[in-house]
Amino acid sequence: MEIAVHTKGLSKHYGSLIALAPLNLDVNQGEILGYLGPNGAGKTTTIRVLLGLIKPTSGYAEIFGINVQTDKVKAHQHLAYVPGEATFWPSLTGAETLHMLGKIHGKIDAQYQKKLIKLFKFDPSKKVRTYSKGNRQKINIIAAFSTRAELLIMDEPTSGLDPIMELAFKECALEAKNNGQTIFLSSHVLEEVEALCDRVAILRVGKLVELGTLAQMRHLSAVSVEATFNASPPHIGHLEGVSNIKVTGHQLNCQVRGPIEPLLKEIITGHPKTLLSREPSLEELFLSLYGDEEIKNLAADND
Amino acid sequence: MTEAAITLATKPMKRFRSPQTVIGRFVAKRTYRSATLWALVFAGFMASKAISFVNAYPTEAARSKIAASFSNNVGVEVILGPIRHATTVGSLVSWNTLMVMIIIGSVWALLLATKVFRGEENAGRAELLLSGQTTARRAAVNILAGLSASLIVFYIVSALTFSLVGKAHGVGFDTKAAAFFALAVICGIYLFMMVGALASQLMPTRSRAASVSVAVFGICFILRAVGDITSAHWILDITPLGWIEKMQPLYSSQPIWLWPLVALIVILSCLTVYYAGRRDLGASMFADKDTAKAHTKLLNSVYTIAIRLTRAINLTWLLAIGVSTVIYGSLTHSFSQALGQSNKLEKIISKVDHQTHLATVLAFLGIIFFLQMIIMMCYAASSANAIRRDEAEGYVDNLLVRPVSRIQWLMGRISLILIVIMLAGFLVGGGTWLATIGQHSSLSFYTLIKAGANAIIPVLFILGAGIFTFGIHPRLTSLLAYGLIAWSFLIDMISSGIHLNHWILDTSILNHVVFAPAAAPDWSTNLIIIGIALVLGAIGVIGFNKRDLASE
Repeated sequence: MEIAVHTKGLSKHYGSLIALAPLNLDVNQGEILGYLGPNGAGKTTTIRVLLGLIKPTSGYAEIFGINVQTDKVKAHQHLAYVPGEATFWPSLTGAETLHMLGKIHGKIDAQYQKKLIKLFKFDPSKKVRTYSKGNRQKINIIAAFSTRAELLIMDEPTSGLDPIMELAFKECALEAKNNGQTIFLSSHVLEEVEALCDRVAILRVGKLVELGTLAQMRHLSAVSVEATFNASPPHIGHLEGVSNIKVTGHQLNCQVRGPIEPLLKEIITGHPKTLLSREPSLEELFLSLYGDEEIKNLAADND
Repeated sequence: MTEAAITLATKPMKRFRSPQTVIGRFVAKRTYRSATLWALVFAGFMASKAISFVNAYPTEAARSKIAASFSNNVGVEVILGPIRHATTVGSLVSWNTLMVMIIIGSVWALLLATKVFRGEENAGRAELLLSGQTTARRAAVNILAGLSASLIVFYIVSALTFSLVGKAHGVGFDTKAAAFFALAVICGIYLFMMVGALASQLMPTRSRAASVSVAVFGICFILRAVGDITSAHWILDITPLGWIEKMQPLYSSQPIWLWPLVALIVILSCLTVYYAGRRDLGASMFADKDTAKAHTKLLNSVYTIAIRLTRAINLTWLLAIGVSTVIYGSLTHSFSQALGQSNKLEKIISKVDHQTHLATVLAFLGIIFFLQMIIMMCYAASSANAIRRDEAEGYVDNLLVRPVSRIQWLMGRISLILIVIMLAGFLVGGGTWLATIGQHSSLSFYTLIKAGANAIIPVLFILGAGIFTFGIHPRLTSLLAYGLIAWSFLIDMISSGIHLNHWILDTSILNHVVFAPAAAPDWSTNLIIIGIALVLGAIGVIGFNKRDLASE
């Protein structure tokens, strides 16, 4: 399988600030990679380096084997980009902007563009300055998908879109994937990533801390357990691998890593009324990677 | 975020600083620096003129003679107004500088007002401010207060520095007269600032608001000129620039004419506040068309896109240069007659005096080409700044994330600017030739085209310097490009009255250019300047290709 995006030791420093620690990442052709992280984690920095808009401090990045620093123009022939914030020339109309972006890219699927304009309920006759944020973002999305580029790099593409348009976006992304296109999707919308992505990469303070399929991540992560009792829940604090224990009245919530049997034995001694066990959602996985520090900070702020 | 930054961001507001005034303070903070800078430039300009007059016309008789030579001179009266009571240096200074300061100051003020009102609204930043503890009307009052605070700084600095000029040996106007002169200047500037503020309420975009304001200024200027050069002097009573002229600062102060100006400023301010509260945010009294038929002819390549996106501004500059060339050219005959009557007159208008003693027509055209040179230098600075703005605001990202190289994009923009500069040079030369055809001036087309070509040399230097800064330190592009022009102009003005060290003189690009057609262009020096501009430009292009894109 061809590699769409390949980075080796790719890093970016701003003085003493490490915006991106050396990143080794491969994105396979035809997959959708979710790129997650909180604000300032280095997602946009990664994307701007991949696009050649900023230089890496070390390492390199390749798009379909083309070095993005030394051969930007050639690399850009294989990709389309959707930024999180749309900045277009206010005096042009939507149609003029789409025409211009298509011409600059070199080739577009005109029929598909018409279909996208209808799908996103976009009125191209208006001047850009009259569009809402969501409508301006539609220009970016329509322009990118209509190129049918082999690689779509998207930085929070659905920001500003309403839920119906988010569904339209998902539809287009899945269609692109079915056509063999690759999507590098940076997003805050975890449901979107969960629904679309084959693999997920999670960044923390500029470092890649997790990379894999959701199934792999879930396997390595804690299982959530919720049980209710007729009386007070049994004491489980001494059990190995059990964490985040929360008792609310007769209800017990906890997470368990490793063998679940000791926990189940202990719960059964308490004669549970209901018992629910489930794999963590992406949100829980994400929070488990980030939670400690941020939650502590929040708690400190609240105090 | 560091602890220090967090502490600063969350610092409690001082008790006397009400949140109701935060917008006003914010606007004042953003505008007072440029107000101070212009006040200092005006002071330098006045000082250079005052010292020139003291040196050139030390006696009352000499001053009366020069006044007589200019009486009934249409060309001079159109630009500067009539010369009155020219028995003192003060009156000559007032005649020679007041209208120039009003023109420059008013353009600055109306652009500033449209920027802080409509510009901020177009950029969406006004929403943030209006979501605070304020209303649209209160915010407008705040912005006006902020602008007014900057003008107060402008007034204080200019009044102080003008009074220092008045105390110089031989100049002889007192502090009170200097303060009144500064008041006349500020009132003119304030008035057109309010015109800009009101136009921002009426027009949907900043550029339209600025265009309307400039048009209003142009009408006022034409009315004043008509009032001065015809027997219909009553026109001066109905135009604000006429009122300013009638204030007669520095020689026969007439404070009565201050009142209509103040009244008009108050009316315009009230209308601004009224309309700000009456309309929706983003809306305007004269709404623009929200939809348009797609015109895609010039949107097919990175080069044609540059033409399409900058054509309005480029055509405006070319039009301004062309029209002013024809106007000045048509005055050549009457001006050269005035020059012929006074062998000392050329010393009034700086620079040319120590470069040439050629025929009076050529001397006058040397001054005109010098003025056009300054305008074209401003175009080059504004174009370099526009390139930077495209990067800062993220427009260029749309192109550079597609198969377009940075060099291709930047060279496209530079090529277009160069074409406009060359066209402007040709317009200055050819336009002057056309305007002087019927004036028996015997000026050859070739001579004037050569002079036009000579006039673009410092323009190329400013462009080169602007591109250099853009490539190396993009956030300083505007400051350096405009700063170089202001510095060169100031040094040139001062050097016409004061002997300056040659090291200082050499820092002005204008000092290295001959003011053709008053003198023959020095092509060897010009080639060196072009070479320097090319090297600077090339470094800038390479620097841009290598550096990170930088937002605002």
